[in-house]
Amino acid sequence: MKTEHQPTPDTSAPVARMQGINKWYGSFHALRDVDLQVASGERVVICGPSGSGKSTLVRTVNLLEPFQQGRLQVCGVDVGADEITRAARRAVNRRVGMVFQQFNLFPHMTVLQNLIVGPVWGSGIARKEVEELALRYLQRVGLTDQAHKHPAQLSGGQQQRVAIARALCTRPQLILFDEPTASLDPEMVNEVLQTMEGLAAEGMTMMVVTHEMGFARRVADRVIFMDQGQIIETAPPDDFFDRPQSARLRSFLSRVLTH
Amino acid sequence: MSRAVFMERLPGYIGQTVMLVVVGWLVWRAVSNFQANARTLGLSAGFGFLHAQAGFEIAQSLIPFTPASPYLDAIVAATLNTLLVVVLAGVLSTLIGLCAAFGRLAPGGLVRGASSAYVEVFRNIPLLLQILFWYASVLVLLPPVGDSIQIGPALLNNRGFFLPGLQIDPTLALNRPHVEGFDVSGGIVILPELMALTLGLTIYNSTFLAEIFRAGILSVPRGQIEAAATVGLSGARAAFLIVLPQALRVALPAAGGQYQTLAKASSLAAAIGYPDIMQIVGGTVASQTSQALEAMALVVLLYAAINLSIALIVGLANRRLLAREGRQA
Amino acid sequence: MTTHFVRQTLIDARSAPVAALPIATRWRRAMFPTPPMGALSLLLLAVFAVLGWRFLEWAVVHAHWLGDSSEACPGDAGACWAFVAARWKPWLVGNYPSDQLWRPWTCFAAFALFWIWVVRRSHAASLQRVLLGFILLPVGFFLVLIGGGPLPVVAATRWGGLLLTLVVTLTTFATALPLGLCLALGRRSRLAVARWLCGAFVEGMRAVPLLAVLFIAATLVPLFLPRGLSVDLFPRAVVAFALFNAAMAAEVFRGGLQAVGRGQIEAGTTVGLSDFATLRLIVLPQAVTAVVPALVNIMIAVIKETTLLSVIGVNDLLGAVEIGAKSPDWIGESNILTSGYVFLAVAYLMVCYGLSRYSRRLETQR
Repeated sequence: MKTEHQPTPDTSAPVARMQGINKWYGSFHALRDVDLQVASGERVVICGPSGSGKSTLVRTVNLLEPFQQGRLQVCGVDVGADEITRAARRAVNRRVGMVFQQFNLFPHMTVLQNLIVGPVWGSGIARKEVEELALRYLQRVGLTDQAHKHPAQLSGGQQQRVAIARALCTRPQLILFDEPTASLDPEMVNEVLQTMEGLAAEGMTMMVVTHEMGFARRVADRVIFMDQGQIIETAPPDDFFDRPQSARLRSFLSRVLTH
Repeated sequence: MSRAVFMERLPGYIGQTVMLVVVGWLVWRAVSNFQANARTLGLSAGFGFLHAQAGFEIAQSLIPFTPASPYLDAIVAATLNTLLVVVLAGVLSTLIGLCAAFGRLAPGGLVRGASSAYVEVFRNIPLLLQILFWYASVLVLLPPVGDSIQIGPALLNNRGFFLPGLQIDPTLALNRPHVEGFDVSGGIVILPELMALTLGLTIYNSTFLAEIFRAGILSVPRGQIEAAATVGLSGARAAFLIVLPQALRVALPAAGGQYQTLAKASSLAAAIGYPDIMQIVGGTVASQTSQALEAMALVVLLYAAINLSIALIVGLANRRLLAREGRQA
Repeated sequence: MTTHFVRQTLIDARSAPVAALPIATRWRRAMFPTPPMGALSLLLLAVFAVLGWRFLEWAVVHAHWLGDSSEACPGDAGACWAFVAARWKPWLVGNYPSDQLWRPWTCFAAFALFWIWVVRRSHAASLQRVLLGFILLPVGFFLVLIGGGPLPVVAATRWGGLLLTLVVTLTTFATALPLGLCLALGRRSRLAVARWLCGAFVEGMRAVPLLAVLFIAATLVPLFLPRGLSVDLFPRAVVAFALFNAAMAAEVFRGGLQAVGRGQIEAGTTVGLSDFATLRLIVLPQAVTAVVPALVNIMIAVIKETTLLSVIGVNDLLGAVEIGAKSPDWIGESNILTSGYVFLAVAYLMVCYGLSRYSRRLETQR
């Protein structure tokens, strides 16, 4: 059953748009003619077999990976393939947040320091203001009393929730999730998914790469299936899971949903 | 490349150009200073001296060498002497290092303690000090030529350890060393300098190799020893057949680095007068021809070549070992 | 035979039974577990006993403790500690003027206090203060020892012995580490020329023996200097030392930088940090903390390398001992020089072993 959410996606100004994006790793064609648009408040889930390019896709959105052909527009930053400058990357990353599969928390800093280092030293916001914000987000993910611990002292699920809070502290217009629960023990997957569902309910625009089909059904506005570097099929979750149109998606679903 | 990307890279391009200009200017200034100073001091340039007569003796030479031989021969003899001590010390320190590594991991407390003490003591005393100590002791303990110790056909005195050599003509016979006045003629000599240098290098490097091998042995997973036990191998058999091959593969790159360090450390021969590259080319040749630049350039090239060769051999061995396991470097 | 079972009450934990083996058996198992091990242990014990007794005989029983010339130590049955005692001043401070000795003593005391503070400090936050101290200390030493202004000037050529070894070690440490870090960062630079220059320098220095570098500094460098500019041997040797060890430090730092995963840099980017801020706040702290034990090992290596200075004629601790054994008062028996060597060996052993213990403690502390 789908959760009620407010507000509904705004189709006027897309938060992210990829036009004819092509990316090569050396001679390997990793992303092929990708055209994609994400509206404000929209929740997009991307799934597909391993090696299909889904991680590469989201990592191209915030310019962690460059692309060789096409045009990308993200949160007001507009770059073509030969216009990817360090300044553009910084501009995008100030408006887009990311949550990694391996958490990538800074081990030499406390949880609180992890949250404030980006806004204070990257965006130049006053420390006090950022600390207040950070504590609020820690409360939001339910980890207030871990604020002064180091990441190594937390469980995997707690670390990933800190990573989500860290992404939120930069006040992003869009959050990218790259297989956020793939490295977690099964009993901790739920706490992270619940946090993400809470974010979705508040209207946060998100692109999520995941294998968690239950999450996709409950939360997504749109599910995208990728294979061999290209978008094969896109549909709202009910149509995607119950009435798959392409043969590839049908065979993928039959392999994934049987266990 | 778009304008935006170019503007962003521009400071980098300018910086690199500045770096090249500065380095180039420094090199040009240094070269012109050198030429001016060389002219003032009347130094000759170039490698023509290689064909000139050396005019000095070399106490130990694996190729025929007399004062009438050219400098080139002197350099070859010196290089061979360096290779000799490096190979000797390398082989001996590997054997001792393996023993010490196993000793530190042995079950008996005394053996462990003795091995650890050996490694700690000789690792922390400077190599030069050890070499000088052995040199002083070796010379002190050995008798003068007149009172040489006779061990079979061999002679031992403070000029060295003289072994009988093989003489091909006119007939196949042993070339026995015998005392002539204040010197010894005939036979093959092992110089006290070589003995001291080999001893010092062997002991010092064996401690580092012991640690490298020990780390390699410890890196073999416990499961291997346990599996060996389940198929009936234990103790020394398991150590040789199962643990050691895997340990050596892990330790090989680090050991290769240590052999390179050994090759460089052999240059301390110059401190006790053993005729190696540093002593002959960097010392005698440089001072006699007054062409320090060419001599030191040769020294640098020779040591770099030796190091490169060691790296290549170790790399080859590493690839072979990995291929045997079906893996890739 | 029951196929079903449900435990009603849980078993509480109990304390383990005490081992009933007598001490003698436990000791025997530890020392002589198998016959071959036992035989080897006994053999080693015998060897140690013989060597140990011979050494004690030489070093203590027949040793000569007092005297001020080689006549105090005839023969070679006993060590000549009189040599060590008589030469304490040149070995500690070289040729430093006797009325200004308070300056070296101050330096030694300052270093001792600093080192005690370093070893005692507990948490990693003051790592920066330690490194800062290592840089300020040699600067302070140079100012105090050379003088100028109210203090009479004492040229560096008059320094020697332990003082010189200490100054060279600290100066090398203070210059080689920052330079090595710059070289390691340069090798990772976007700019190809920087990568090339730093890489060539580091690989070049690593391919060559330190003694060759010192020889070049001693004999070749003056030929490359413009006419009229002459630099003393001591500063040239110190610079050569620093450059050589900077290349060694660069390799250590390169390992530390590589050990910080790519994910850390990506995370820094995604929270909005610039490349430089990511390097400064995320990468460097992790890289430097990771290599501190290796840096201490470099310091140990530098201490041992200072002995090479004696080969090119700089009067370090080893050089001072050799000069002493050739001085008119003490020339003669080689046993005198050997006694000096043994004394030096014990001194270096204590210092280097202590430092390596400290390095191991640092490794396990994290």
